[in-house]
Amino acid sequence: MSKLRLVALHEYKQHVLKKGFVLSIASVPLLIALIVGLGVITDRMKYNGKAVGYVDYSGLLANLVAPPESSHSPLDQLLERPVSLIPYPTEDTAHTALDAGEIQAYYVLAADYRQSSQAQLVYIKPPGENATRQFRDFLQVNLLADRPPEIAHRAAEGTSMTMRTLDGSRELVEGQFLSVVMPMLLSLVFMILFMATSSTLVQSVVQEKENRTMEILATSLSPGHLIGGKVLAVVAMGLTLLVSWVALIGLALFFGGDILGLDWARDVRLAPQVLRTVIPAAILSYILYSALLAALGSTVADTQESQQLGGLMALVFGLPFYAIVVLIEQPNSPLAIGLTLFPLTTLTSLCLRSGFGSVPPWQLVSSLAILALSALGAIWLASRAFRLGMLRYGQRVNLREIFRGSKSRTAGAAKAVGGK
Amino acid sequence: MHPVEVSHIAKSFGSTRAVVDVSFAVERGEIFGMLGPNGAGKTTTLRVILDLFKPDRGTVSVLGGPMTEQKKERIGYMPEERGLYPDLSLERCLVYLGTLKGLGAGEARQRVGGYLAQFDLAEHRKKKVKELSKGMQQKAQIINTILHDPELIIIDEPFASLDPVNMQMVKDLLRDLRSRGKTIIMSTHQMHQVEELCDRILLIDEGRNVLYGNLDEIRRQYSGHAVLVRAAGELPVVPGVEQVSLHNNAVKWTLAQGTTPQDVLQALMAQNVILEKFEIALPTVEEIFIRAVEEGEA
Repeated sequence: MSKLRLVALHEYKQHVLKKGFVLSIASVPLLIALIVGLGVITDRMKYNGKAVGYVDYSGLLANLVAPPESSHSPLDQLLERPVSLIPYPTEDTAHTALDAGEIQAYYVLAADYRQSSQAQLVYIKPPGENATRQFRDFLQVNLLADRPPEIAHRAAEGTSMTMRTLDGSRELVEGQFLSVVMPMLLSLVFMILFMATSSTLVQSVVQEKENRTMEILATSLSPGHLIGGKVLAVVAMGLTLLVSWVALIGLALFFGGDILGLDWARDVRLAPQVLRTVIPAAILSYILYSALLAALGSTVADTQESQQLGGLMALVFGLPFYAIVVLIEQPNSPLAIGLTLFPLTTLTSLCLRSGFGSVPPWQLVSSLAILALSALGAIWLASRAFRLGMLRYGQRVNLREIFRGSKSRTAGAAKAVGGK
Repeated sequence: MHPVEVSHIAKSFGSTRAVVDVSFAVERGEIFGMLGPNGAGKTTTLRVILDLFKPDRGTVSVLGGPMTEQKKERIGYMPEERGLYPDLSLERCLVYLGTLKGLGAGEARQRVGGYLAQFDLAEHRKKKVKELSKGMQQKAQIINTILHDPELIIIDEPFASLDPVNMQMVKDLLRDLRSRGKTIIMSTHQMHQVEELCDRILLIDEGRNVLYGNLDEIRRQYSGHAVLVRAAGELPVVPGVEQVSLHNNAVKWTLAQGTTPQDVLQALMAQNVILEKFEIALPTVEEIFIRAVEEGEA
């Protein structure tokens, strides 16, 4: 087995077999579940199960037609609070019932309702969303009662709008909001992924310096193999996390869509065009960041300093989030293009821009090319910094030394600690 | 071909000249001692040999040429700053480092098992390295150095922080390795430790060669300035004796410049002293070092 693979395997096992890593795997799906759960609970808090009254002067509801069986998901039906609809002959009787707290609100349909389509809603406190929705469905069914079933069904369905980009590569179906924000969520996932794994690489290098294992390692294999193995391990770690998250989220969506019948869960889609753009950018970005972090780990003096630098890098990674309004509203503004072409913000910018439109091919190709060149440069920088800094205990290596070192044949151009 | 040949190397760190001009060659199958006080340039010289530092000047040949990745597997190195993974179990740590030296995982595990038993560490194999005592960690470091059966072993300050029992164990091990044909370079500032171990030595001071060659020859070369004397009765006063001290069961007379052991013997004979012992005292490495440095300065 090559030493590169040995180091990668050792580092991978070292980190993946820790409890913290298992927690990291569970963290994102749990966070999403928590956010969705809180949303559902907040939504359901707007429901009110008390009865709703109505006064019908139009005669439209004289021959009542019962609403069809609910087409909502089993979960929605479970959480839905059914509301009784009570007819009142006059507004006075309805109002008396409202004052007595027997009903939460009442509707008044005027005699000319068919012409005006105007209904009056009377309440003391705004009624629950479930109540208004159930009355609307009830009214709709009765309005369409004398129509042929297919027309009634189509009218009940309402409008459905689909938007497509000019090049036809992206389309948005009305109501599938999650598909729009998916690229944005993806960038958030990458950011969490980066934050979860970034410190690992820096700490690994710094700790080997601190516990003096570095000298043993440096006399066993080349700096390139050592640093390359570490970068590979972190990339593999990141992939493990990503695949685990995708699998868990996919499982949750399958459960929500196919078992619980949640429409939004079934409608979550990620456009192939987005995947084709984001995947190469993600891989190159990950290599770029990993190599830069390895370089930083070689130059800093201790673990604490390495953690601070890791945090700083995470801030740079998330920089496009601060310009999200510009990226969405003016995707071809100089700022948006600049953030897309700047290698450290390419991935996040592409994710954010892909959600709301298409990135022009020239920008895509240019940004990926710059990213690839930067990743190669970062690997070179990392191996230089590592060679210079590997025997510096408690001392920093500055950038000037790294570049100066590259012009001369001297390795370790500054004093090492640990004997003379 | 010498396993190691160093020719006029120099290495500076900024304005600090760690090594100014050091040259030597190491013979196959010997224990070569690199001696000198702290800060003499020993560790830097070793790191240059190991290609951890590139020399500013001079050349180094290891196992027949420049250092390569393959050659690293034929070298065992124990640095002065001991380093193992503190959070790994002893066995896992040694197996991993062994595989980095070219051993297969199974073979590494087998050898580690054998050495742990030999060094009385078998029952601690599952303990984390940081849970071991300093002496145990030192033993583990030695195992790591020789695990892959290297032909060249480089040890920096092997006796640092060792108790007498472990110190003896290390000495026995080094002798055993030499008897198996291994070449050993040992760097230390504890000069008395090398007298019983080293075949040849290099004395370094302020980054330069001070003395270099066969230890016995050097000691003979620097002998003649002291004699060990034991007589049946009390020893008389003899001219030319500068200093008197006790040495085991004899008296050590350090002679003044211009006085030879023959002069002292003739003086004793002339006074009819019944001698039980009269021998030329060989100087210690420390004494040789001090004299060599003084001569160099003069």
